Amino acid sequence: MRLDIEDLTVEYGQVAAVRGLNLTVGDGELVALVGPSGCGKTTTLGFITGFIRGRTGKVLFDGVDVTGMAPQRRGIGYVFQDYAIYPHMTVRENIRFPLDASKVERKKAEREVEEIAGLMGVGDLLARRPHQLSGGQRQRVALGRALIKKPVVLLLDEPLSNLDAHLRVEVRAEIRRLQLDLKMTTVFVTHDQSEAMAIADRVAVMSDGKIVALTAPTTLYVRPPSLFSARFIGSPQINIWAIDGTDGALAHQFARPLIAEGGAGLLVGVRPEHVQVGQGDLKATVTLTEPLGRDFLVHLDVGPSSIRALVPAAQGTRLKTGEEVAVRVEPAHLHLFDAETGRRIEIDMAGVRHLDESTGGTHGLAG
Amino acid sequence: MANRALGRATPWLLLALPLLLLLLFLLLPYLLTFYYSTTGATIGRLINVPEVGLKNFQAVLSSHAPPFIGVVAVTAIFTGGTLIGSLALGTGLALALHTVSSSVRSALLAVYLIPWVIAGVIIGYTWRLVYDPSIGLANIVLGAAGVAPVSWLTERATSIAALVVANVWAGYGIVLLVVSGALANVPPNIILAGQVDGASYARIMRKVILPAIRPTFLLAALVALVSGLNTFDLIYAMTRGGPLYQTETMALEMYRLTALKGNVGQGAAVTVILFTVSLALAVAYVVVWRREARKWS
Amino acid sequence: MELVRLSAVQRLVRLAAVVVMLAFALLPLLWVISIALRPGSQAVYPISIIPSSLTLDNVTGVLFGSDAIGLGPYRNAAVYGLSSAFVTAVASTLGGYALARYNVRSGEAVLIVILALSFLPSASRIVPLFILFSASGLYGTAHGVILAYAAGSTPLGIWLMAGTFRQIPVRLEQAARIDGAGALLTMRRVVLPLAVPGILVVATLAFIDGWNSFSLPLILFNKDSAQPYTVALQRYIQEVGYGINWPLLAAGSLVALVPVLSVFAILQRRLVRVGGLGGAIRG
Repeated sequence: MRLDIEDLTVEYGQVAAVRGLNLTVGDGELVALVGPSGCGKTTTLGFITGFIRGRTGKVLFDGVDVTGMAPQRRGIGYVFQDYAIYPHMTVRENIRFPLDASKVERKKAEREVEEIAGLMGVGDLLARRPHQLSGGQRQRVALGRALIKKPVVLLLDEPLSNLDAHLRVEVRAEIRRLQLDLKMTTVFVTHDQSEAMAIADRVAVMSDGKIVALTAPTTLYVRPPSLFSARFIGSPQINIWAIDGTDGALAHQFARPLIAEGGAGLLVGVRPEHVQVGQGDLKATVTLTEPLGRDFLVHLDVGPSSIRALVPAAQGTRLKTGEEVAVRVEPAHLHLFDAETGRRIEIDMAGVRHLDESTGGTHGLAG
Repeated sequence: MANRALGRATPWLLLALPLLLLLLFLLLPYLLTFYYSTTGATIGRLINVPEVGLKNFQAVLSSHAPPFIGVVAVTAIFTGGTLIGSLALGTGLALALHTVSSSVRSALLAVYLIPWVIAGVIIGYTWRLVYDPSIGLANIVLGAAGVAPVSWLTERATSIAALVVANVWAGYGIVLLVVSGALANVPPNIILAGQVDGASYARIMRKVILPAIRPTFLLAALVALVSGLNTFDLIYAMTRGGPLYQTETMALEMYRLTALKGNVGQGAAVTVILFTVSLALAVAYVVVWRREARKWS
Repeated sequence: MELVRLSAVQRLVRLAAVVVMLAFALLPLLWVISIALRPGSQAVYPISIIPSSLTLDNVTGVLFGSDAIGLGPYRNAAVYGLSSAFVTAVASTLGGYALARYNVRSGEAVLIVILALSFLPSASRIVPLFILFSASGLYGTAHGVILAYAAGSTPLGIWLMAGTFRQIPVRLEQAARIDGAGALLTMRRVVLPLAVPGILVVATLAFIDGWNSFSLPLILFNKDSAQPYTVALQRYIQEVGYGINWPLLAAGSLVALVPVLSVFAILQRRLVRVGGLGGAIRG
């Protein structure tokens, strides 16, 4: 089923939580809504369910306007951040509840409960009560309850954030596998960019009530459409230097091949993993090395400016604080942004600036 | 849009029944009382009553049997004694139990709260039995110490005090309950932090615990005060205000004037006075409480 | 774990306070029980503290004897208590849910007024209710007394139920809606089952108030047949001459204590938790 949200604006009192949002999720597609807390992700989900009213905006299921429809009639599957499992019911009663609500005959309902519980791997927990379950088990029960009525769309609100770190990766993969198997149209809300990148067909980056980027995960990483999404996606965070200001010398040094004419009003960005240490003719001083496991994060100073670089552990262990090293950046790995609007700038062969339009949301790229 | 209007009306639909109940049986009676206090109504004549202005209040204030000032004095002594007694016992006990482990505490609390659930009349009979001159526990205990039997409820020197002790027995439980609740809400970490900092228990009590329970203590004080003012069942069961009006409080006076003398107008006048005092205390409390709550939040 | 480490002297003071207060709380009741369960011949001066023999004669005497008040007054009190508990539970659940879940603009004001109402206990309502009932034809009816006591128990009930509903996450209701349940099914299957502990406390408090009712029945019932035990037990007291039939009065009181103390014993943990009320009212 295809999901469309058109021109959604939600206000709480004087404050706009969502402003003019448009989003289409294709049939069987998984879109991740990602952004810092308070950016309007959960409000958008609330609008899809019908619990939150927009000042303007429509939601369409397969082209049919369901904006005025009561939540219980929309046929949505929803997994809450804290799972919202009914504490006074057994696992069996929890999963069966949607079928009871739509008056499915008891025998048939029981069969379906067994089936979905098996699929979720909670088949032997059906008699338990929620307080006897682990976090991961509760998560599966919530997912089973959401899926048993064969929802038209599955909404997942930070479903992994209450799980232990090691479990998170495992469950993430399970959810994705299940979603692909069932070809379920899904919106996945998270504040964790790596989670969004890993699970989604497309990632919608939200900031301040707007979608500021909407594209495939790899594109988002390779060609971030705005300063905000460049900073939000990728860890450790991207280096950003302004041509105008104290970092000007460094920024200019790196960007010279692209912006011969001076580059006033531009920001230059390089991801730490694309800073090459030990090559080139720019000299930098090591101020701190942080072992991250496979890699080392190295902090370097060049004059008044600093650089974060990601180097392999083998190289990282040899670097000493205070040591002077050479650094360089491949021009292809540079990202340029307009300092005023934050939008991505491409520079063509002739040195002319263009706004990058390929990956942005439909409404503005501010932030 | 119709849906939205219904949504806004829903809470008021839900509130309709409880509000109706409260309006009819809680607010309306008080409004009626204000009206009747200015009329010459009697038990036999409740409609088409003559307006008498403030004459009922004049009659009540200038009455001689019993003198109104005497009734006020008895009410004040009884209420003041109840207030001080239940606050002291309830709060003291709550503080003592605060340092006990929580399982022992809740078991003890249940025992101490037994009087709280007993009918005022039964409490009255219970203490009347304790004070009985011939088979009362009080005289047995004193007799063992060689003291001659006392006629607790009939002698002027002891009657009000005896009532106060019984009413404290009835009322310390609610103070204990509320203050214990507040003590349980004091974060244990700030008490532990105080000890780590080397403060004595007395100092932690003065600087941390007592300030934290102050708003609740005020609440308990108001509850004890208003319930002392309004005590009827217990006094009725123990002395009926006698002998010779020496334990007649305003609560009993309004019953006597209305039900026994049939003078509804004057009974209503006493009720208005008592109600006004109670309401003033409640309003004063809400004001103080809100200020305190703001200070602590 | 104990919260603070007390000195030996402090422990001794604490122990003394606990023991003295236990004696204060229990001795009067034990004395009533002792008089109620001893033969009438032993309940006269000079009296021994421990009776030499025990008997149920006084209890059967109160219920079935020649000078009995009978079972009727206890049954009446039970009817008032249970009916008032039912009305209070319904009214408090409705009101508490409305105030907890909907952003009624004047919601806070309503709660404060309701709280203030609960500070006006029954004695100052005796006369007004007498006037109201006389004027409206409810005089002498059980309905009047039940509704009056329910109205008295409802303010605290609404307050407690609002707290109960606030502790039930809104998400559970939203989850039920998304699962396809309408408002009524959501209430019946999700919200009310979770509110049962709170409803029990509210109903219990109202039952105790109704069972204990005295002043209203005293002046509202001219017929003996509608009187609760609190009023009927007065038969054993002759105010003139101070003649009191203590064995029967004590036995009648003891019978009256059995239901409230049983209910209290079952629910005391929950009731004690209401002590958080002080904290709850602050928040």
